[in-house]
Amino acid sequence: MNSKTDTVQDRQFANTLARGLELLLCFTPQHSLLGNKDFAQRTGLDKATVSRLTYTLAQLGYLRHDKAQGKYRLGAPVLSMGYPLLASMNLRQVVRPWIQALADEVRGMVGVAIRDRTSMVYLETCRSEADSAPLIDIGAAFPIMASANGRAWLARAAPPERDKALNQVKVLYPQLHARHIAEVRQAVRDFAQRGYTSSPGIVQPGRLALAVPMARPVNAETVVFNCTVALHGRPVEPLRAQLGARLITLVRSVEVAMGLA
Amino acid sequence: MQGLCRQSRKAAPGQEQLFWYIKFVPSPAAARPHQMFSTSLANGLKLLAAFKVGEPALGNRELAERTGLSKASISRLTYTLGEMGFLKYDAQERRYRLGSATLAAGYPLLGSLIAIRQVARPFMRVLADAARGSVSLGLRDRTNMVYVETCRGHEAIAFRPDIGGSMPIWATAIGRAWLAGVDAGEREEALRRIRAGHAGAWRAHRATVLAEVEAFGRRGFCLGRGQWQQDVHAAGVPMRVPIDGETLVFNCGVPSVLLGARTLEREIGPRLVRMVRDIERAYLAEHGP
Repeated sequence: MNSKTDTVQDRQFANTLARGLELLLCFTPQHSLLGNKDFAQRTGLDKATVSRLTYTLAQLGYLRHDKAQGKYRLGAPVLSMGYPLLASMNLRQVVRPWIQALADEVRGMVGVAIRDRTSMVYLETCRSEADSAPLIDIGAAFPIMASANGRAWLARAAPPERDKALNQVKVLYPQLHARHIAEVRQAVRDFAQRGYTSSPGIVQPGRLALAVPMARPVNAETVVFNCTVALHGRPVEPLRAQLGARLITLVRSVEVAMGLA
Repeated sequence: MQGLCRQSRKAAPGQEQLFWYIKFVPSPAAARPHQMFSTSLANGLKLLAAFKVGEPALGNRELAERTGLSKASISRLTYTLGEMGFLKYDAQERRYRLGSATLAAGYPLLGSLIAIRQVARPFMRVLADAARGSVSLGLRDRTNMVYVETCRGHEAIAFRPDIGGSMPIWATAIGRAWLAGVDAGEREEALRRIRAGHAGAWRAHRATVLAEVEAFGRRGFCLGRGQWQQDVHAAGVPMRVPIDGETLVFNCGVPSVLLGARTLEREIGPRLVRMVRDIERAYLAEHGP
């Protein structure tokens, strides 16, 4: 989700930098090839500004020019950019075999995510080979208020921090906020009782997602574990309780292994 | 180009004209790109690139040291990067950390390569386990190769490359294999960048790099013997099937203690070549050219 930088007017704000980053955020896995006109449409910037930005980003390697198509693709530096962050989360290396084992056991997907403003971003994901849902990859982002992950983050956050995050959603995506606010409030109460949050799967219908946040931050981030399975006609309730218990156990074990418990 | 710009601004009036004449008149084409280049965007990206593995948090002073930017510019850029989610201020440590938007920005690139990554993964896993090393797939970034997929074998504990990890073309098997796999024009362009930006490293590695590129014609793979990570030796093989118009390269790196004298050349290299051909066949069968 792109942030709406044009609302920010203060002088401290480096507009050109923000716009350049916004161009990078225009790409999606489905739209991996974009031209100056596409950028102008998506960002509302004029063509001259866009071509200056794409020129600069291409010089620096962040965009690759596809001569045949006259458009741009993302360049490899966008991956290097987040690499130190990924690498600093040595948590990922620790948990990988465990989340793979859980994914295999429940025949679903297990992921680890952190918050990015109004979204949750995946740091690591594992999927059972028996699960036919599309693979969700590192860096994939989901709305904080609609996903089990996001609700777990909100439930774990101290009330002022939670309100700040919810307010960000309200300002940028008022409809999303209105649609989900009651569910988020309920999720916060559920979490206090059960220790996990849940939501219907976002990517595909007929799925159930559960999430458990770690008790303490890692590198100043609240890390959330989640697990998504296809219902295959099974009743939600016993399954939810059973998966919730499994996921809580996994997260508590990770905390012990990381010396956080 | 930024350097030139600053230099001419500081110069005395008469000199300024001379600078301008020397630097720009002989190549009028250069003047236009110079105006097109947005320094503030470049500086913001430079700030993000200042973060290295093992130093997840940086203060204002370290950022200034690493980027050469003034304190005023840094505070303006960090503020903007913070608002955009690319940096995060750790109030307790009074330092910046990379924000999760840096991960989100790379996601569409990984996603656009998902077809080849998914096809390749099972083949990579088999070789990584058999070789007791790691097998990765890389994409070129100017003078570097960047991993877009990686599989670790059971015993490769200390050596932990990951998606987004980046390494110089000249020092690595994967980079040398890229040089060997692309056409002469692309190779020259990359070598020009290396000579211009990394003259010392190029002098030190030139002979080895050229010998490896030459050897590729005979054996179908290139080698790196610990010139990047001392205790890791590796073989690299470029794909013949371009992906999104790019030559992607596979490598297989093995801790040198696990290698016999000629294991890399006799076993790992040829196995990697076979793996890449198998992956290409599977990819074409599933997705077409």
